[in-house]
Amino acid sequence: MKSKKFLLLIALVIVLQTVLAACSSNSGGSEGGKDKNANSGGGDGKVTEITLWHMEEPPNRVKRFQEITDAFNKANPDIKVTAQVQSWGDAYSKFPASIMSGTGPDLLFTIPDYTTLIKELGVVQPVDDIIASLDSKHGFLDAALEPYKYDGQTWAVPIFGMVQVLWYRNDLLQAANVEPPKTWAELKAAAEKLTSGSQYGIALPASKSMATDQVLYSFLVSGGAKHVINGNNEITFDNEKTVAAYQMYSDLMKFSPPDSNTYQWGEPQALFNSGSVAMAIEKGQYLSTFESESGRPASDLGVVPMPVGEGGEEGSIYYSNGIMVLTDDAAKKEAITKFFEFLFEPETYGSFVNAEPGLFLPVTEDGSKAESFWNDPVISKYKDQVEVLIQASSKGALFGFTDGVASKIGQIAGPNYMAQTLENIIIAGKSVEESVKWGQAQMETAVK
Amino acid sequence: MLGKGKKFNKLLPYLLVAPIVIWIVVTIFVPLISVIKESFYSTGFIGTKGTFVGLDQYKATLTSSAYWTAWKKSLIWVLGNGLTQTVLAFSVALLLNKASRMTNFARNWMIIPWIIPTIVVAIFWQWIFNGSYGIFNRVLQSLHLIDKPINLLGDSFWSFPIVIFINTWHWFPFMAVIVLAGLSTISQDIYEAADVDGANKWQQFWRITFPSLGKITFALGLVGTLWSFNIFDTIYILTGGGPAGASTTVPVMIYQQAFEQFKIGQASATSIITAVFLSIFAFFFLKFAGPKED
Repeated sequence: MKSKKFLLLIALVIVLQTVLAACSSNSGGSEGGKDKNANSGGGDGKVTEITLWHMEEPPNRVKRFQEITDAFNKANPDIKVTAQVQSWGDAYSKFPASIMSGTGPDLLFTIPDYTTLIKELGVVQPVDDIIASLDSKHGFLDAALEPYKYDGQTWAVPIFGMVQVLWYRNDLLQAANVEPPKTWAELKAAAEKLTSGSQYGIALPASKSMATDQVLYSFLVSGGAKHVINGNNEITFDNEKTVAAYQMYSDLMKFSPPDSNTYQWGEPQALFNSGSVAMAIEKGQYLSTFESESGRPASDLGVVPMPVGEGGEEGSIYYSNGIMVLTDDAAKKEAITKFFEFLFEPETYGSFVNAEPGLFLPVTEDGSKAESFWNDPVISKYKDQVEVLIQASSKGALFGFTDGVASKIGQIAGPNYMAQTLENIIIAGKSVEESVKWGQAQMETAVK
Repeated sequence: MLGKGKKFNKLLPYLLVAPIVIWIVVTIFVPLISVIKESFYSTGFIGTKGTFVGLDQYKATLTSSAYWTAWKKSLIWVLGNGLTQTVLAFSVALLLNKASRMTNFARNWMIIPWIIPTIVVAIFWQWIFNGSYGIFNRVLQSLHLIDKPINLLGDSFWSFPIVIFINTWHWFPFMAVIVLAGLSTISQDIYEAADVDGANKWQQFWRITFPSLGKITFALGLVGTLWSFNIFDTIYILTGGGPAGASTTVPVMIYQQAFEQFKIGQASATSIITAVFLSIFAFFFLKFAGPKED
C-alpha cells in the first residue's frame, strides 16, 4: 500500500505540471507608470543607470549595440546604459512578468504590435517630447512613426525599419531569359518558367509562423487588401481582394519547394543562396551573406519592389522597430533623452543601423543620407539594392496600423491567423473563399 | 532539561523536512492557486488585469470542439508512445539481459538517445526529414523509391506519427533501463526450473518474466502515461502543433491559448479541467490496474 501512496504522490505532481503549464500570471494589475526599478542615481553626482533590453541576438548585432552604448557611456560619465540581450521567444511570456515584478528594463526594444500588448500593462511612457525634438533635427519617416502614434500620444521611438522586397538570382533569370517581374502575372509566369528539375521558381513560407504572416501580408498590400482590421478593432479581412491575394499565393506554392509548409525564417534564404530557388520575398538580410554563401558575385543578387496585383498598389510589409520607455523616473528620463539624441546623430546612427547591413534601414531623413550609413562595406557594395529597399520603405504598411491603430492586433498576430488561413488552403484543402471566411471568423473571435 | 530535549527531538523531523515542504509550497502550490484564481478571470496578456467571469471559461473549454480534438490527439499520442516504447524497451532489455562484453557495451550506448537534450533531438530529426537537404529523402531518392522529396513533418497525416516515432526514440532507453533493472532481480533458478519442465521461451516470458515485472510495469504505466501526456517541447519544436493543427495535443493547446492567443484566463481554466481529468485517470489506474499485493 505504501508503494501505491508513493505512486499517487508522483502522479499528483505530474498532473500538476499540466496546471502549471498555463503559467501563473500576476493579475494584481499594474501600477500605472510607477517606477519600480529604483536603480537610478539621479543627480547628486551619482551615475544614472539605464537598463536596455534588446532582442537582436546574432553576435554581430550584439557587438555593434555594445559599441554604441560604450561610446555613449564614455561621452556621458554621469550615465551608464547597460545593454542586455534577450530573446523574442521570451518577449510574450517572460518579459511581462519581469516588468510587473519590477525587474524589467528601463528601455525595451519593440515592434508595433508588441507595443500594443505591453502598453496594456500600464507601464509604457509616452515619448512625444523626445520624438518632437528628434523629428525637428532628423526628420522621421511617417511609415516608421505612425504605428506608434495612438490614443493621442507616441509610445515608442522608432529606431530602424525593415521592408520586404522581391529578391531574385540574376544569373538564373538571365539563363532562363526572364525579366524581373513587376506584376503578379509576371511573377507567376517567371516562377513557372524558373521551375525545372531540382530548381524551384520561388521559395514561399507556408507554415504557421510570423515568417508566413509577413510574406502573405506583402501580397495583401500589393493586392489592395492591406486593411485587415481597423482602429475600432473591426475585422475587414474577408473581401474579394484578400481572396485574390490568397489565390495568388496558393498558385505560387506549385513553384515553391515541397517542404515550404515547414519553413521558418532561414530556409528560403538558404535555398536562394544555394541556387535551388530563383526568387524569394524577404527583408534586407540577403545582402550580407549572399557572396559568401552562394559563391556568386554581388551583381547576381537582384532586387525589385514587391510585384503589384491587378487593382492593387505598390507596397509591401514594413516593420518599424522601436524602443519603449518603461520608467517614469525623472533623472532616468533625462538620461534616456540624451541617449536618443546621441543615437540619432548621423555619425552614430548609420553605424547603429548597420549592425545588420541591409536588414536594418534608417528611419530618419538625415540617417538615410549619412556617410556613416553608406560607408559600410556591405551597403556600399550593394548601393543599388539598398536604394530599392529605402524606396520600398516609403510604401510600406503593417497589418493593424493601416486604417487607424488596432489595439488588439496582437491577438491576431500572435496566433498567426493569416498563416493559418493559408494552411487551411494548402494543408486542409479547403477553398480560398472558405478559408478566408474561416480566417475572418477566427480573427473576430480573437478580438472579442 | 530533559523535557526540552524531548521537545527538540519531537520537533527535529519537522525541522528537517521543513525546507523541502516550504520549497514545494512555494514552487507548486503558490502558482497552482494563482492558476485557479486566473481561471475565473478573463485575463488576456500575461500581467494584465482581467474581470471576474465565474465559470464562463470552464464552459467555453468544455464546449469547445478544439479542446476535445486536442484530447483525441493526446490519447493517440499517449497510446502511440506507450505501445511503441513498451515493445521497444522490453525487446532491448531482454536482448541486453545477458552478461557478455557486447551487451555491456550496448547497455552503455543504448542510453544515448535519452541523455540528448530534447532541443538537439528535435533539430537533428528535423534535418534528417528535411525535404530540401535531409538524408531521409536523399536515401529514398537514391533507391528510386520516390521521385520528389516528401515533406513528412509538413504532412497533415504523417507529421503526428513521425513526432511519436521521434519521441519514442528519445525516451524508450529510459524505460529499457528500468525494465533491465527489473529483469536482473528475477532469479535464474526459476528459468532453469521452467526449462526442466519443458517451457519454451515464449511461455517463460509470459509466465515468469512479465508477471515478475508487474510492479515495474504498473509504475511505468501510471507515471509514463502522465509524463507522456504532458510532453510539450518535442511536439512544439518539431511541428508547433501543426500542420493545420494535426499535432495539437492538450498541452500544446494550453500553451497556444496562453502565449499565442494571449488568453491566460482561458488557458488556466483549460489546465484545471485537464488536471482534474488526469487525476481521475490516476485514481482509477491505482484502484484497478495495480498488481495484487502478495
